[in-house]
Amino acid sequence: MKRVKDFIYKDILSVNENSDLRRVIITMKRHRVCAIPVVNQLGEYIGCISEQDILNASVPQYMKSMYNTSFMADLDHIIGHLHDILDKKAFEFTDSSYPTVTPNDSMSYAADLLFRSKKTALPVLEGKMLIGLITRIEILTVSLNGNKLS
Amino acid sequence: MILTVTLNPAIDKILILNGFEIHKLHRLDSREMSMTVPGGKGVNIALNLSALGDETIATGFAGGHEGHLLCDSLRQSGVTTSFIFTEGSTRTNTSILDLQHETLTEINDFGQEIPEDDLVFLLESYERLLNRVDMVVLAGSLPKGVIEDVYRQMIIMAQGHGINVVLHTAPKYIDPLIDSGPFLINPDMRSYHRFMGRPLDGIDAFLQAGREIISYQKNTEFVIFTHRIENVVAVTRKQSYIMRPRDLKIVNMLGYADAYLAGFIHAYRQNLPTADVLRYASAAGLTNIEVLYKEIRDTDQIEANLQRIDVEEVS
Repeated sequence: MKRVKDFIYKDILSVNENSDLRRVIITMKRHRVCAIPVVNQLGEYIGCISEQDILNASVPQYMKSMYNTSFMADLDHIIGHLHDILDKKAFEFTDSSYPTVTPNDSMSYAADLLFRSKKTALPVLEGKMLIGLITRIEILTVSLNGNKLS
Repeated sequence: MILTVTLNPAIDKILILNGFEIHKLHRLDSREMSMTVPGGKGVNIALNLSALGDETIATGFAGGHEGHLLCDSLRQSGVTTSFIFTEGSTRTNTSILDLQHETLTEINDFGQEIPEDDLVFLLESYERLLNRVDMVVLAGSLPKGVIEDVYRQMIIMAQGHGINVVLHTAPKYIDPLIDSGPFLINPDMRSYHRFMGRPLDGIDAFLQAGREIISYQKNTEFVIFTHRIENVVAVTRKQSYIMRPRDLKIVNMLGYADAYLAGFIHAYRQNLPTADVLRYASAAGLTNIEVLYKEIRDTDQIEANLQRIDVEEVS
């Protein structure tokens, strides 16, 4: 059986829960990732922030109440609101229920989790420590070497 | 787990050719070679440690396409990456090794300037990483914009976690750091023969300098001078050692000290007697310079080279 530990993308860059949102966005842009793990002061994993999480937080509350109508979000309002929250801490935007896997999980399980959750990458945790990621491309490239997942 | 810190890493562009001349167009033929590989002292040490089977995390600053190339190559070699990406790009260092004339021409770029907020972010990340490693390697030059005191801060933070620090950089950076008591000091004196504020060369001078440091710094256990490869001098608290390799056949000196230190760390972590650790380190350095590549690929050769290292103990 193919295990997660043999396919880990061994990058552990993360942001601190007390980093501000500005730093989170800068880091995602420079690092070319759509989601980034968030850790506490001890380096323990507490969740992830995705681009979608930030976008969701950028839409002002009054706009959300109008979602069900034919209302279209005004970019100026979203950018203006995003600008106002750039100094807020990362933990306020962290998705602590973001799915994760462990090194001993099967790649089939990881693939299923990625597929169902529609995420781009899954953090790989050993205890509370982040040791890398499983990304969609890791799953897709398993088959290139003549392998099957399970 | 070992953490290597490379604040000013590079992409190494290595050209290996015959008959290098200025004012001439060179087209590489099949006997020549061009390599584009991750570089910088700490990065080289991480690559060597990974080849030796030691779990290693590499951190530092990276940026741009070259930064992604650097991290991708490190991961392909089994190193875990945790680089802080900056707005500017990682530099490219060019080396031209001329096999026919036996010359090495090097052009090192100065690298990107680091803004203060990126340095703060790196130090936060470094402090967290200290919770999961048992040895830290600080190696190489400092990029523009980074205060000279950063290595001192990093040494003190590591010592606060009870972690040994290996320091390998130019004398101008090491001199003001000696009193912070790093576990191992290895000055890079290839192109600069001053250390501790004075001209320094020759076995006796190295022994004297090493003993001075060890006698004042209770945390420093090793002072090693590797740049005179025919007489590597290591000073420890109990005694000193001179390592001499036999029948040297130098092919490529690039990355010698990095391979030496990786060998040292690998052997030290196996709790070998000091003389054996130093012998292994020298054998690793020797293995590295007798092939074209700047990092060790054939680790079995280190074992075979152990017997070619004469170790003299000096009281």
